[in-house]
Amino acid sequence: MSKGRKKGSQLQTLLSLAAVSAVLLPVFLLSSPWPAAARDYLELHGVQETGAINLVSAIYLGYRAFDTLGETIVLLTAVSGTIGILSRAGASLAEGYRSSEETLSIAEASESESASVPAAEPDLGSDPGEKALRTEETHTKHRKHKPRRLRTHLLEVVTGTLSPVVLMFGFYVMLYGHLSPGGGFQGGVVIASGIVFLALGNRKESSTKITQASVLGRIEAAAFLMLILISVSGIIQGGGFLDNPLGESVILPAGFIILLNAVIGLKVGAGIGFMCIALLGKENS
Amino acid sequence: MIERLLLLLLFLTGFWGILEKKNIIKKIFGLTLINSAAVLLFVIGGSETGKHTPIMEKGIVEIVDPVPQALMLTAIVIGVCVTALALALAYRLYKASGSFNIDTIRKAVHDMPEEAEIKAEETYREAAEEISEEAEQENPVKKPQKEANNES
Repeated sequence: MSKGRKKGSQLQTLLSLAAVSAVLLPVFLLSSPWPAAARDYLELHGVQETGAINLVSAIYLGYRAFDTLGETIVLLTAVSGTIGILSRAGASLAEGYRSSEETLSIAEASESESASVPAAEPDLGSDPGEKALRTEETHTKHRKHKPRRLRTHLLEVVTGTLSPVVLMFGFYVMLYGHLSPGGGFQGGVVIASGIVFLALGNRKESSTKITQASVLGRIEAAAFLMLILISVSGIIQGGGFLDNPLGESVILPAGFIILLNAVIGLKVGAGIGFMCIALLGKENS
Repeated sequence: MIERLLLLLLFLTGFWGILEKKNIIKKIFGLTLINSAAVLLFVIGGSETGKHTPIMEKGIVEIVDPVPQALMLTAIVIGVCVTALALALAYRLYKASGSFNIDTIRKAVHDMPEEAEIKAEETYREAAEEISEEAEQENPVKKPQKEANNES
């Protein structure tokens, strides 16, 4: 019965794979030449019109900055959706099953981890009855979903030492996006990984607050507010929405793009870092 | 040619992962594989028009088309958003059912309304009992008065 069902499902999978490949094969093997009109125009005029040597940044912050604004809103929506799903209010909806026990045990496990180590040592001198009791206790503990100990000394040392380097590289990628490969989004993601490194290598006496979810959320909100203010500020000078308010300076022709890159990098870094830290389960600490 | 066939293979691998794998996390992996196949297809298509990266330093000619690269930047960010939301949903499902296996989750979700109904009935019954107990406690004071009224 179950074998027959398995074979049937495999046959279904094969059939659907064949159907999908039949549809996609002409799409993937398309041999018509790529239209070169946009490339020719950008090659001739792109640097003069936007000031950015990196033409990819010239497109997504110069010609199509409105798209980028929408993209940051998508990211903001995703962050708030993730936090909404992960937060306590969301989890309490599912509590009808048996998650209340689990959340309790998970919350207690981190506290009892430190306490259980010294408690295990006096076991040597105690009588066997107590030992049996204790082993029973540990068995029941193991039966629940006890989170495995993820932090090792190796991880702590490596991530704690690497994170400043990663953060600095992220800021480099973010601020030099108009000259070299990179930009706000790429640098922001590198900054987010630096923040995750900090959170992984975090010890209790650490002096940084950048890994706290509330701080990251505030940074993200402030960066988004700044982005909107920057995009509106062109109107004051008589331009349109997202027009360059700085004018065409000779020293720094890509000033507006650098500004947008920095703000978007902060926003993306804080947002994705926020999401990762929430997925690590630290949004309440 | 060969790179495009490999991309099709990558796409199909992701699709197979979504269809056939039971683990929800592996399904999400399949989703990201499909996303990266689409992104790489666009980048490869744009790279046919030139030879150099679209960074206009002195002496650079014959650049590749920067438009698909800029568009795929958007696609990558949205892929990250989709993955994060899917992982959060998987976490919620794990919290609700205690497993990442799609069959177990389906069974758990199927059973859940009945359990909730039973629970609701129990709470309703308890509340009703409490109310009746309270009423019994209060009634002995009132009943004699009513009887007295009836007698008179």
